Amino acid sequence: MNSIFDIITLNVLASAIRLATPVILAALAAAICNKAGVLNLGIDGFITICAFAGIVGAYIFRNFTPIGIAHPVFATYMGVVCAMLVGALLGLLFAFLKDSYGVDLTVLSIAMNMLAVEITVYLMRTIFHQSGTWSDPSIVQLPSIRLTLIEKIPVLGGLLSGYNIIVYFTWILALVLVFVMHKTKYGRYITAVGENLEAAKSVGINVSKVRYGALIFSGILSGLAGSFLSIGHLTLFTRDMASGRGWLGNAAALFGFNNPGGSFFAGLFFGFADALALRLQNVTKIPPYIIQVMPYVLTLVILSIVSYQSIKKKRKRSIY
Amino acid sequence: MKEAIRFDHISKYYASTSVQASDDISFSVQEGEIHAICGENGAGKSTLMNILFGLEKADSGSVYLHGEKVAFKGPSDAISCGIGMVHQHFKLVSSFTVKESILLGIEKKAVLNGKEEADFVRELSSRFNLPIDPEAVIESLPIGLLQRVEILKMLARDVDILILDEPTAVLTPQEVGPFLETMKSLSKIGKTILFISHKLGEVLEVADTITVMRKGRVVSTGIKASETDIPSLADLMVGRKVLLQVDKGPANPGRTVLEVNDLNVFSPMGVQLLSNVSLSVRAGEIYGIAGVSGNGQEALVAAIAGHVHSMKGSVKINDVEIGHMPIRGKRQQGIAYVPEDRIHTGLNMLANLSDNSLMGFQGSKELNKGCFLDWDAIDERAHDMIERYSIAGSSPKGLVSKLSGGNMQKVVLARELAYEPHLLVVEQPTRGLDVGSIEAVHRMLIKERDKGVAILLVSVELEEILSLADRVGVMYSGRIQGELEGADINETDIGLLMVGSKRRAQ
Repeated sequence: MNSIFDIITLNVLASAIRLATPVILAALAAAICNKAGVLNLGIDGFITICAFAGIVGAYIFRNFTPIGIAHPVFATYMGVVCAMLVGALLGLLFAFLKDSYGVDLTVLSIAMNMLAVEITVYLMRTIFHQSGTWSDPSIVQLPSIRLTLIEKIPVLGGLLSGYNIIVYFTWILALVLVFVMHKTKYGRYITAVGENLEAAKSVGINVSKVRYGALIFSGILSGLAGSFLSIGHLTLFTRDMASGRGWLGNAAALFGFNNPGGSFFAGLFFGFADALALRLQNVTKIPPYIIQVMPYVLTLVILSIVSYQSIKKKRKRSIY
Repeated sequence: MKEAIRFDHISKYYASTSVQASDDISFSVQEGEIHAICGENGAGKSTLMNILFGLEKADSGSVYLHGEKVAFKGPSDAISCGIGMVHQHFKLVSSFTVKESILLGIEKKAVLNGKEEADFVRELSSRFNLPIDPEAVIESLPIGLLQRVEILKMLARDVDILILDEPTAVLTPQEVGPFLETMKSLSKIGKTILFISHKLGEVLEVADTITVMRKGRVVSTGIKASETDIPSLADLMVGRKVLLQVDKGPANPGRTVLEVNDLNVFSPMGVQLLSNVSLSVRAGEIYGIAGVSGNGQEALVAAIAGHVHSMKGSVKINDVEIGHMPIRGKRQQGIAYVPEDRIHTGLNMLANLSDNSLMGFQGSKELNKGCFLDWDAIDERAHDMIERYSIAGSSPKGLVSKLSGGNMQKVVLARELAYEPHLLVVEQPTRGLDVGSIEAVHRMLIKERDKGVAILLVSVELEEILSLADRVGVMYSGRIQGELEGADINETDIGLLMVGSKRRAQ
């Protein structure tokens, strides 16, 4: 049997951070939506659509614009921007349907998740005549950025450097969100709208603005997560690209009590479980199908614990 | 004195319920006075205040503020013009601290400074003599303090006119006195207060001027509190003489219907809620359970008519042990139950009157045709209930949520009485009801008693117990502290037993 340090190497930790990034983004998106009282379970679908939008955007800029032909990396960055725009539009659509027509967000989310997988496959077939996966050799992936200053720190330095821009952005974003939620009036408004709509309305907070904001924001983060999958890490689109990462994000947000900080670490934890699963497949003889299911079992266990805790709390409050 | 607010021929009609909520209302409120607006539930007090506060729009007429015509588009408009409102149901975020709740929406800067905010709240609370801890979390505060937070919230917005919508309805008797003092001191420093209430004693204690409303109209305005009394205000409110004491003949008790023996009830956490409670209720009598709320009344009612986590002892209806029966079984033994909370437990607010009257009867043969519900029969039956119990402003297909509290209670009672029960358990049947409805509910209960129903009446209102009960058991800390019967029932003895004293007053 291998010792624990043979299994968890620095490489495994670095890959954990990479694998965790889309989950963390989804978790932050879900956390903000939950705080604002607009449960967005459609993030998984958002991510798949945005992954497709990202790679298509990158492809178009790479091959059909002079600047993209000259600078392949620029085209990839434009792909990320496209994914964010599409994500924002999806969030806007959710917010509009919720705000103007009172559509139930859960129903909308189910529709979105089912639609996302099929519409991307349909577009892939009709535009690129591929059915399972699609990629184009002209597209380059997001470049890794090495932070020379940080790399000089022993041990940790190697762990904190060498990722693409989305990873760094995610870290900064988590910090910014912690500040916004706890130290600014906007955080207070979001919490008020989510917890007691009438209270927020009665002091003149523009409720629909907050909801629009939260849903559009979740769309933009889904755009980042999606483009990270399709052009950040690989240059490839496959059917159901999100493959549950959005759902993991929803779970991580709950696990982190909808606080940006908590959600960040919960997301990181899920990423670590993912990386560990991959590593275990390589170094142990545990059957792969058991290992692959591990992150999801872990999610289930954690959600059970969280919900049990809240049931216990509720029981304490009422006598019967 | 200068005029603060003038209502000028305000009218408002709700087409959805065909109710004329405000009918040509005109009166004025002077600066710096406590102006009480009295009226029964459904008299249109709240509608008028919502119009003033910009939550609703009047069909016609206008509001003048300090002599200038105003029309607010929403609460924030009203607040910025110096009008604040404390609603009956607080609008607070339970996870926020006091300072966060007070300053929500009026933060000076985007980035918050916790210390500055706390200092502001401290200064505010000492200026108005309303002490509160700025760092306390809302969900941990008692209702009296929540109300204080709501008032401070308005004062922080520099309002000079405060609308208080039935502020004492949610307070415990001990909290009411200090609250009335607060109102007086606010008025002393020049705030104008509009005090909505139907509790006439409180109105007379604090108000300078009184306006009485009935059925959307102003019946009388500009009444000086010093020149009137409760009976004449009650007459104005109801429009006829009210029997504050119900007519009640002597009871004719028959056989024992409910027998509770050595009952002990425990909460899921193992706390003993009832210890060795024994009592019996006979057919044709009203047994009153008096006591300060929270002394085991809930557990007793749950053991008889509902479900408890764990119990020892016996509960019998007509000699059948029902303690461990499911609720449906208990009902089949002849128990009907009118819960304390009619809005959440007694009725389904999203459903209409027919639906609500059907609950529990969905399996009955007369209301089904084959395997389908017979809606004609159900509506017919609901219609009968409306006629029989004169449920005002209602139709079988009308939503119960549009009814006034008194009429909601009548719907619950009508449904429960349709079981033709042997035992009727009623919990706080008149809480929050106006004088007229209280009388109607009391009459219904006495009528059932005279028909031979055994009634267990749980109430914290001493007056209700005194005027209805034939026998009284006083609960204190999970026990029956003492029982009184017939001529022995008096306020002093009940009061002593309620606070745990064993001895009776001589």
